[in-house]
Amino acid sequence: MPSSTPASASIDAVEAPQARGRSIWRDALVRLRRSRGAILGAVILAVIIAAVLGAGVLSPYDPLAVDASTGFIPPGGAHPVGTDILGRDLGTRILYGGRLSLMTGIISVSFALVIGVPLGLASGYYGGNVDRLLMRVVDLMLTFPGILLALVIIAVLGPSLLNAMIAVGISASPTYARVVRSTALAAKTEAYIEAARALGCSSLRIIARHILPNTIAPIIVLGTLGVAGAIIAAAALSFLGLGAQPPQPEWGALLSEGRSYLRRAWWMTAFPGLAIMVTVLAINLLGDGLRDALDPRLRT
Amino acid sequence: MLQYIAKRLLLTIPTIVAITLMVFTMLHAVPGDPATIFAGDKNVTPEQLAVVRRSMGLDRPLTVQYLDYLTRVLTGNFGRSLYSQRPVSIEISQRWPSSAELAASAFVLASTLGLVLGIISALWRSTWIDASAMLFAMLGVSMPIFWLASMLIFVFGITLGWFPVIGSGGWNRLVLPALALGLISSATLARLVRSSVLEVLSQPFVTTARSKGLAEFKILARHVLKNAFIPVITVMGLQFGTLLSGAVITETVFARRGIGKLLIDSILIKDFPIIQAVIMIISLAYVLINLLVDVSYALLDPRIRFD
Repeated sequence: MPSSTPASASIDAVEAPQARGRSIWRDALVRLRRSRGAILGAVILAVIIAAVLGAGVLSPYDPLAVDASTGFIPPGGAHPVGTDILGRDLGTRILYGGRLSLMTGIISVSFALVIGVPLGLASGYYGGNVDRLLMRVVDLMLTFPGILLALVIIAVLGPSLLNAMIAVGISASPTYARVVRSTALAAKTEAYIEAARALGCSSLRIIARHILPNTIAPIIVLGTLGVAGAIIAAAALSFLGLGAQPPQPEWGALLSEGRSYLRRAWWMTAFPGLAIMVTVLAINLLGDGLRDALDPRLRT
Repeated sequence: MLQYIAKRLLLTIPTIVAITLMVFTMLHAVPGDPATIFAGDKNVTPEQLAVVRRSMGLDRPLTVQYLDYLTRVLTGNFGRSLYSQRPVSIEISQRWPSSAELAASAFVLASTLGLVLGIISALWRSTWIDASAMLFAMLGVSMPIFWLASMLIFVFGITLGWFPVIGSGGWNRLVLPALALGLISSATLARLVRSSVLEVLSQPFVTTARSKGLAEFKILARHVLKNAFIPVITVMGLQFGTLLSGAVITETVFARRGIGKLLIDSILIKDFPIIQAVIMIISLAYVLINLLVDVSYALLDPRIRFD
C-alpha cells in the first residue's frame, strides 16, 4: 500500500501516541541512570570494547608471531600478563581474542533472535494450531539442558567456531520465542490492533508495525543477558576443542591452551578466564539494570 | 494425587519419543552418507560402503530403521563403539558411577550453599551481608566453570598440594570437581531463593503472623520457607540438568572417567554409537528428574494437584 493514500495516513495516526511512546523510553533511561550496577557494567563494557578494538594501537606485538626466545615470560615489564610457550604476548592475544569472543556472543544471539522472534510473533499473533504446534516444539527444546542441545548440533555439524555459534544460537532460540510470544499475545488484544485490522491492514503489516515494537523491550533485556551467556557457552565449546581452533586466539581456546601448561605458566590460564569473567559480569550488570528499567516483570 | 501423577507420566511419553527421534535423526542429519561414519575416515570404495550400508541396515526405509533402533535401545543394546569396538552399554556402565558421584555431591553443595546464601541475604536485605552474598552470586553466574576448575587445580592441587589434580576414584579426587561444579550452580540458586523469600515476606499472611506475635523464627520456618521453596524446587530440578552439562566440562578439566568426558571424546572422534547413547541417557535422566520435581511440587503445593 503506497504511503500517500489516506488509509495509510490514518493507520499511522492510529499507530501510537508518539509522545507517550517516547516517554516510556525516557523513563527507562532515567531508571537505568539511577542503577549503579548498570552504569558500572556499561562503563566496564565500554572500556573492554574500546581496548579490544584498539588492540593494534594498545599493543606493539603481533598476536600470532612466534618467537621461541621469549617463551614463558611471567607477567610484568614488557609483557604485563606474560607470554605463552611460543613467545607470543598473552595480553595482545587476549585483546585480539576479545574481538572474536565478543563477536561470537553477538552473532550467537543474532542467530537465536532470527529463529526465535519470528516463531514467537507467529505463535502469539496467529494462535490456534500454529501456536500449539510451535509451542510444543519450543517446549520440547526447552526440555533439554542448553549445552546438551548445542553438543548434539556440534556432533552433527562438526567442530568449528561457526558451528559453535549456530549451536549456541539454536539452543537459546526457544527462550526468545516464548518471551516474544507472550508479549505478542498481550499486545494482540489492544484496541489499536483491532483498529488497524478494521482499517484493512494485512497481518504482516500489523505484526511488523504494531506487534513487533511491543516486543523490543523484552528482546533488548533478554538479548543483552543472552550475549553474556553466549560468550560463556561458546568459550566452553572452544575450551572443549569443539569451537574455535588454534591458533585462533578466542578466549576459551586460549584458556584451553593454557591449561596444558598450568604448572609452568599459570598466567596463560588465569588471564583469559579473568577476561571472560569481567566481560560477562559487566554485561550481566548492564542486563540486570536494563531489565529493571525496561521490564520489571522479567525480574527473577 | 495419583491422578495427577498418572497425567504427568503420560505427558512424558511424547518427550521421550521426541528424544529417541532426535537421537536417531542425528546420524542421518550428518552431511553426507551415514555409512561413511561407520566405515571410518579411510578411503573406502563405493562397494565397501554398500557392504557397510547393508550390514548396518542403512539401506532400509527410515521408519523401519527407527523402529529397529527403538527396539534395540529398549533392550539396552546401543551397538558397539566404532573406536574401541566394545559394546556401548559396557563403556557407559563403567563410566556413569563417576558422573553420578560428581553430580550428586555438587548438587548437595549447590543446594546447601544456594539456600543458605539466598535466605540470609533476603533476611538481611539491603545490608552489607546481602550485598556481599549477591556479589558472590553475580561472580558465580559470570564465571566460566572451566576457569574456576583450572584455578582450583592450580591453587589447591599444584601450589598447596592438598588434593590430587586429575583422575577419578576416592573422595579426595572428588573434592575439587564437586567444589567447582557446586559453587557455580549455587550462584543461580542463591539469587532465586533470595527473590522468592523476599516475595513471600511481603505477603499479608506474614504480616498477620507477625501481628499475632509469632516468633520470627517460627514465621520463617512455618510460613515463609514452605511457600518460598515451591518455585525454588523447580529450579533445583532444572539446576540438575545444568549440573549434568556442567559435569561434561568439569570431567574434561579434571580428566575424570565419566560419561561427560566420554561424550566429548566421542564427538571429537565421531564415535556416533557412543554419542547417541550418552545423549539419550543424559536426556532421559533429565526428563526423569523433572518428573520427580513436578510430583514433589504437587505434594508441596495443593493448588497444583487440584488444578
